[in-house]
Amino acid sequence: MKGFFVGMMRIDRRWIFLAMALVVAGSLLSDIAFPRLEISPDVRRAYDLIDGLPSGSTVLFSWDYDPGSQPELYPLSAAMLRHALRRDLRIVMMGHWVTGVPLIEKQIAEVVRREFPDKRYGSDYVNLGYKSGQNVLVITMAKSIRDAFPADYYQTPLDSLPLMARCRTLRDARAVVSFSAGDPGLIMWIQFAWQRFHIPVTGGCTAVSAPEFSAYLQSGQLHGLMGGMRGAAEYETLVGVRGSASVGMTAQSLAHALIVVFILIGNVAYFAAGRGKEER
Amino acid sequence: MAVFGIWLGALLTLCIYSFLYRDNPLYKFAEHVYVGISAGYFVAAEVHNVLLPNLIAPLRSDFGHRFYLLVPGLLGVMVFFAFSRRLNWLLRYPLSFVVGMGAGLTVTAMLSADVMAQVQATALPLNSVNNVLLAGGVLATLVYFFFSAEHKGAVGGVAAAGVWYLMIAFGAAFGYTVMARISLLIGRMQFLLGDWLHLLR
Amino acid sequence: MKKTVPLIITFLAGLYMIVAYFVPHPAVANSAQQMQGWEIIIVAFTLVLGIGNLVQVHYGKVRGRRPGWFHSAALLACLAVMAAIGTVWGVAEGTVYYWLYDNVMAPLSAAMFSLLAFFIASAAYRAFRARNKEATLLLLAAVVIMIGRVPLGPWLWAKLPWVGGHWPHALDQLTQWVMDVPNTAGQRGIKIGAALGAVSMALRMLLGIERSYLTTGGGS
Repeated sequence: MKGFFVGMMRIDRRWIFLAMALVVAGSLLSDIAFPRLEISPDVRRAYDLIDGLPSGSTVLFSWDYDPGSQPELYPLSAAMLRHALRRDLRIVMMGHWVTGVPLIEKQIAEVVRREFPDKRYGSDYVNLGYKSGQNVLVITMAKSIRDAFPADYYQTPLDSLPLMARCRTLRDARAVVSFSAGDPGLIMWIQFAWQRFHIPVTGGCTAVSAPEFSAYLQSGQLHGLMGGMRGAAEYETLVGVRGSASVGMTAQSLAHALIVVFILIGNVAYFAAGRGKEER
Repeated sequence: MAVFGIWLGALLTLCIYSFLYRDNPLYKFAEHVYVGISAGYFVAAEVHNVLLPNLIAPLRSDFGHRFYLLVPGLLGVMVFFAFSRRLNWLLRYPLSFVVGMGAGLTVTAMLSADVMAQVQATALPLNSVNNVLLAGGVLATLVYFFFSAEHKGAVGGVAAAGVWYLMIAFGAAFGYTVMARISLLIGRMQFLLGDWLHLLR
Repeated sequence: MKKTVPLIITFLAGLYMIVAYFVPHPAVANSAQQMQGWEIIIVAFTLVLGIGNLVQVHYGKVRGRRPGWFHSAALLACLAVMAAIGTVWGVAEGTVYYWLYDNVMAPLSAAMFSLLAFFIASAAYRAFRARNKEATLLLLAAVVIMIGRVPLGPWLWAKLPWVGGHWPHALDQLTQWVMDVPNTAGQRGIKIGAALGAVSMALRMLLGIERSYLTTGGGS
């Protein structure tokens, strides 16, 4: 029996890889769906912040991620974009990650132009694109967006864009929404936009970094948070859209269950093989 | 062109996934293409997003008023002395400017957002179990990181409690890390099964 | 000249940023703004510098026909093509550069990161052991989050006999509590400690005590 457990511990890891691939692919192909998601207080708070802004206010959306984190943050930025446009907010778009800037254009094409064809570039939304500088960029924008971005992503001077005539500094934005896969991202926006200029900051982050934001949520420095694909799925639920995050929740659930089963088997095998006793 | 793009993306994804079986030339090739394309992407993106609009265009259109931009331009060009054996020390000038500004901003930002505000948020009224657990937990964790006093007696006890808090925080971090990695796999599977093979509804 | 001037630049640039934080006078704010605009430009050059190092390494490999040189050749070719196409014909939607980003770079990046799902599953099986009290606590917290943060967990919980009926939201509440109380306390302790460390390191740099960044470029 002990030999069996020792064998279990030495199993070729490719079987584990195969099991994971099958569970994820199988659950995407299946019709299994779990009941509606409970909306967590942190997501509700972010939703309420955007929902409570007067129509016509300007918000800044910052795409601080790249394709490596797309499955977690792309559905969230799409859902928040929809929410903001439905609320008739004006959106200034930018990004701190040079490798993520084309995702802004992708989202404009897939969400704004397709679902909100009456929204006009220049008066309802503007894409500023990317600049280096990180925290320095935020401070520069707080004094003058033009100093940091003399032109938008398409090299149009900001003075010829009506929205930017009203939004001259970061302080003219009623909120900053960052979709953050690390640094530069949400933490930097909290440290500078909120802490220094008192502009409410909210947004989403990859699940990896979600736990560290709980300290900022409790202190009130962060106005709500969507952590990972689950957070995106909750926001999709709130705006009434069944997007890729909501669809992915079944696969997410079953893959987590598989990992828990792996942990259980691994521990049973470990103790049954007598390793625990040896180490103690 | 769109269909070709999806096929290309799918085949490159499979090249990367072939690594799961074992390291092989297809994976190596895809890996090098990724690094090369990303590096090339960087160059053009920096040129179009920063160097053209913030340096070259203002100098060309209004040199009389913007001539001072020659200073960052010159400091920027000095970066490339890194490749000269004799003059590579010149790299230190732009680097010291960037490091100095970064350090100056770090001092105020971190003290304000990550020390003062966090300490302030911990000073809670001790009128609920959760508040006591939270304030006590922060204190215990900080005691654990305080190595100037030996972790014995009362200090040792508090530090041990700090370890328990840290373990829960690391456990939560692990749980969320699993969530993140699985999400990325789901995203790729949605692409392969949906966009490529059209098997998803 | 080689070390003293950079140390003075570091000190003055850093000090000015600290002064600008506390002094709202327009003269200070405007000049600080000017310096910040410069930084945006210089940082863009330094990012391109990293690419230079990459080229150096792989060019050496190709020239010396070292093992795997053809992979390095592919890397250099991709780099040159992408940089040239983007620089000459632009980067916006509809360009070849954008197409290559969307169909080559983005899938490769996403695939590369998604590999980690497989490795974390393997690590969970092989290394996540309840070896002692602390490890058990870590393991339990991880399991609560993994199950509690996906729809399957609360759904299964509600199906449990007795507890599921009496406290249908208990798992949700436990997960939220773990995040809000012990996790927040632990994370805050780490955050305060790390911030104090970063501030002391920044001060050491400004005062010229920490000079390791000046070793870049060699010489003395």
